[in-house]
Amino acid sequence: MMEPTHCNGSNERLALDLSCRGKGVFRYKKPLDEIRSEVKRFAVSQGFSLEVEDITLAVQEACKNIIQHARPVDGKMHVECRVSDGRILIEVSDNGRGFDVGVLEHDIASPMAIYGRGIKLMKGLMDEFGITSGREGTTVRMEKKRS
Amino acid sequence: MEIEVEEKEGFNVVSPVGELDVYTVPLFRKVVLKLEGDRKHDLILDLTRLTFIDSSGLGSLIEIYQKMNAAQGEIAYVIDNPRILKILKLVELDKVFRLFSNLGRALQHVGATGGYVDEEFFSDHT
Repeated sequence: MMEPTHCNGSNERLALDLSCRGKGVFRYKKPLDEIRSEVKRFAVSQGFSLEVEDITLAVQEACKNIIQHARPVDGKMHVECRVSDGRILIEVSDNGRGFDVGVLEHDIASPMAIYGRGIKLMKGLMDEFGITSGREGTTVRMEKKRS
Repeated sequence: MEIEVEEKEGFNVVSPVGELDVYTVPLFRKVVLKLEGDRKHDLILDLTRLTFIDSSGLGSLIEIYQKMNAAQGEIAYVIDNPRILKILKLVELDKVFRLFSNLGRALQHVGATGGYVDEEFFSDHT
């Protein structure tokens, strides 16, 4: 289901693909656990320590959103991690149906909001967070500085 | 995840052990909401043995809070793990929930006082 790969023959980049065909998040527990594990291993190998738990939770939240909402055309989600200038740069993307990002801005204001808590969590966990979405899919970009 | 339920000093005390995430939330909801539906006691969620929580886990805590409030029941949360507390603070639930640093304090204060206690402890863990 998942094929973790270290690309470009370098330890400074991690690329993961995860099949997410079919409905229901529960069938993806093992692959999501593996993503957390792979991202954690990569971050640790790049000298991250205190930040690792924040990074892995943020990635899990991004992947969970894809599984629950995106319906990717190619049936996959993509996770890419790079390290540059002491920062880990993470992209989590899909080519699913996308959504109106503006909707989030209204609902995440309240702690008791039903939706958008995952987004709020990612924003809080990471130093930089951005999300773009449209007809060609959704990409979450996040950065975290190494302490 | 394991969930321990016991009655202490007139409170239902529910203690999830392990990870409270999208996979374990259904079991947690089932256990707690069954207690809420047959409510004779106020509720304390002892989260001191949680090792991980995600947005789904946070959502379950909010749902339980809302249901207890609707039933005019008291609910409090026991947290001593700075990591779990940090997650709650990121989504500002520390401003909504009654938080205690240990079960003894929760048992002592729930139903007796309003607002928050242990302010010094919680202000030290951001």
